[in-house]
Amino acid sequence: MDILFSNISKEYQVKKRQDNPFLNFFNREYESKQALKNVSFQIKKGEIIGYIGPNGAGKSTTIKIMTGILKPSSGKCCILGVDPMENRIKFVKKVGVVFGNRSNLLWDLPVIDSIHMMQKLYDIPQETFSTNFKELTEMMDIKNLLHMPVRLLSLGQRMRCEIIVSLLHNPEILFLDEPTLGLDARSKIAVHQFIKKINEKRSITVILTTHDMNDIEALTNRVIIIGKGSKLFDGQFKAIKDKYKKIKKIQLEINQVEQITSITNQIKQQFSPDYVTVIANEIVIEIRDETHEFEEFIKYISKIKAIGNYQIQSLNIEEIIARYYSELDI
Amino acid sequence: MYRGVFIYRIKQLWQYKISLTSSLPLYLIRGFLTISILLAFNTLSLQNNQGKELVNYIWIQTCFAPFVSAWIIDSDLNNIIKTGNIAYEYLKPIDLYWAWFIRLVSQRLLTGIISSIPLLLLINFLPVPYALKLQLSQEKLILFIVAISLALILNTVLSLLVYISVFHTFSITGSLLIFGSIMEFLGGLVIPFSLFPENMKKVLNLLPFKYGAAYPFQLLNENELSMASLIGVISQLIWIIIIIVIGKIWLESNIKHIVVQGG
Repeated sequence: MDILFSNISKEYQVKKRQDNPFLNFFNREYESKQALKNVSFQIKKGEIIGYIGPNGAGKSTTIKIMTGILKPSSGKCCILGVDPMENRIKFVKKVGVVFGNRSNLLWDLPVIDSIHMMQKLYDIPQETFSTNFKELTEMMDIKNLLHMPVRLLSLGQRMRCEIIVSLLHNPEILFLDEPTLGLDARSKIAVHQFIKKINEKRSITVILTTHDMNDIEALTNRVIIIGKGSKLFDGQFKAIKDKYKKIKKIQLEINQVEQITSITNQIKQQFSPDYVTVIANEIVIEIRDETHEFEEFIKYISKIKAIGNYQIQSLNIEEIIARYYSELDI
Repeated sequence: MYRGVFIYRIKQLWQYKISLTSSLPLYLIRGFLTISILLAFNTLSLQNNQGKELVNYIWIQTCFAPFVSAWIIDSDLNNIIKTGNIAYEYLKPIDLYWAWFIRLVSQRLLTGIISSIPLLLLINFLPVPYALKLQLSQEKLILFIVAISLALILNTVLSLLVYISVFHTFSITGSLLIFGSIMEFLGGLVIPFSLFPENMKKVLNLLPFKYGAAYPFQLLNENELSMASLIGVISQLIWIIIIIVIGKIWLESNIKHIVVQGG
């Protein structure tokens, strides 16, 4: 078991704010804000885990506890057999971390300097270093970036370098905190492919937090959903998708705009759609594909002449997760 | 390991070499001004040795200012603590205290070597009241090099305390305004040490600040080395150890309570 998280809670002390700035200054009262409540999970070696949840759910807090930056208020965290707060120097040599919103590279210097500095800091033997370096730079395709100062790199280029820097010392676990934040579609795919390859090649455990569901879809089977500090789901990502598979979204384009309200009303009366909205000359309807209702609905819309065009879709991945979040009430 | 920190910090600072070298005239002018002011105040006593000693003191102080001044700020380090990038620092397999120590020492060293120490070559040839006139012996020079190196270390560990205080104050400026002023004044950088009243000197001898600044400068002015000069070096060592212990304990306790905020 690579990661063992049992009953972890974390409370932050937040200073109580008052409207009066003068009183605020002398105020010494604190209230505690619970960021994590009794979160437990286990992760096996070589797994890729998607750790998702809405903003402020406690994802980064979990990553910080797992990397030993934060001390949990209660509970036991055991990574690779050790408590990350103890024996930090030995621990950090075994993990690699990328925070999407922070930088680990030397801003003024070429990328290659950051890479060499990491070699020195981690005491990586020359042989391991050169094979790793060669392999990683080829996989990520950053050879032509190596001699550019970090400040000249674009966000996507920089992120690729950040990931490489975090992998030079052959870590056993890689923590990625929103690695695709602000990347374009192509860079995202490059990052996905890279993570997948490195996971297969080195059987490295990857913990990934993200808001981009495409990351999850491309990379992971197992997801852990956290909301308001508690673990709400832990299992196959497919299970969530299957749950919403039956919902079909139908977009109707109406030719005669004046009829739009009557058609909407008719649909509402005859069928029981989950959801109806009208935008300009379009009606968007959601219907469950369970009973005959859906078939009848299709028949119905093919009869009406006012409908010029229609499209049937399943929910896309972002919508599924948004639904699921609201269902979980987080 | 720490060599890596040193080399890449120097490389980073070297990016700003023009700004570093352009400090040369600044330090020269600063030395001139300070000397002119002191000479104006001390016209009467100019005849005796004190005037000459003061001039020497000021020049040495100016040339080694980056070693002894409290105002050498590593704003990157300040930002690391403030913005939460300390998370990354913390995930490197190095002791934070020593890594930061190396960072600060390398900055002071490089700044000194490039932007002020070269002045030593020039100020020997200035017209009389302004020139640096030292009587050097081999022992004196060796002792001075030891003392100024220890002073560099002492000042660095002292300033590390200021950086560690950023965990509480969130801004280096505030901490430095208080601490830097105390350190520079009591160390004899604002007013030369020999101009303090005798009673005050006795008190200041008990504090670490003098050993980071005035003490190595005074060494060069002394006619003959005595036991007292050697005791200074020992005091430096003792203070360095005390302050390192304080700094390490303080940093350690801060790290335990650290909260890296934001996503």
